[in-house]
Amino acid sequence: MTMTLIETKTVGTAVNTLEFTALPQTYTDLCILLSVRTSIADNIGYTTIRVNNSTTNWTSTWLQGNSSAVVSSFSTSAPDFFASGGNTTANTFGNGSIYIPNYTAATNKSMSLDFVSENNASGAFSAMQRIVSALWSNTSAITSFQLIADGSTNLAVGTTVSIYGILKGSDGIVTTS
Amino acid sequence: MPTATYIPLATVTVGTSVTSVTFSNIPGIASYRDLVLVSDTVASGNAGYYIQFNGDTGNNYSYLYALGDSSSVLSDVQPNIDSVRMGNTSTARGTHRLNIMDYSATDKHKTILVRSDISNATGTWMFTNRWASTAAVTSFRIFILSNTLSSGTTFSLYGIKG
Repeated sequence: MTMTLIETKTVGTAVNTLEFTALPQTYTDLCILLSVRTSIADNIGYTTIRVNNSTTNWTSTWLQGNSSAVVSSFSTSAPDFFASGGNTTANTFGNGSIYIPNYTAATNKSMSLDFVSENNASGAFSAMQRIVSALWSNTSAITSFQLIADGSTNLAVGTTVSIYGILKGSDGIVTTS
Repeated sequence: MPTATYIPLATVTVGTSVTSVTFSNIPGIASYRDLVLVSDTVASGNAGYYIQFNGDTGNNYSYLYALGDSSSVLSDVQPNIDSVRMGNTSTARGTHRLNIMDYSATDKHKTILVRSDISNATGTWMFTNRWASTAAVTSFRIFILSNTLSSGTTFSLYGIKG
């Protein structure tokens, strides 16, 4: 088995931040799966992700659908993750995934993010989806991961984040040239 | 005991700049359902990034994509072309992930889903590609149309058990 669960955390009492520390350095890639709702009085539950708790050296480009229009933009802040906010249908959570290749390498860290918020409603910004290219221009190994609800809002009870390690290798059959 | 479902098949780290990488001797029917390729890519410049299967250089491929390049959004379709598109390369490091669906089926054309992510104006892409062949995939060649893939580019190939 080369895709191995490292750790799952589920919010039992509303909290601003979920943090994973001391990530093992024994895998090739990380895959992070998220199911997230926040307490904000809005349809969109605004959160931010970080690695190594870093707020600097980030760039990201995204393609977004906001229930009404499609847009693309660019940021130099740590990537957003749009979850379901407190105004959305009860029991709905935004979902997403993050893939980080070569997270221990002494190279800049590229990553790929997908996420959607959920809401049984219509109209612009009733729900959002986004695919994101992100780059953390830092050659340090990634040792921690943070999911942070924006401002004074909290991650709602039931928010769950799982981190998996993926190990590269060879079967001795496939050849490369 | 759970069955392992995500099996590493091969990995490549580019040491000296290259223009292509080929994977061969891919296991056939009953081995895996899908293939997953992860490329952590850095290149000497911006260029188209492509794959051909089983040495097929004919116009037997097509793709549909949506792209956000930080200032605009685009979608287009390209039928009857000579390779699968997997986005672009850049001097900035980027992530390319491919799912090659039912790669060993001999009664289906092959669908290749691609996410291409580079966090600059190269942008974030999603592709649906088709290789119009019922042949099982036994090899594929990844190549860049101009410039080179730089040292430190990595490729990891996995088989997914069905």
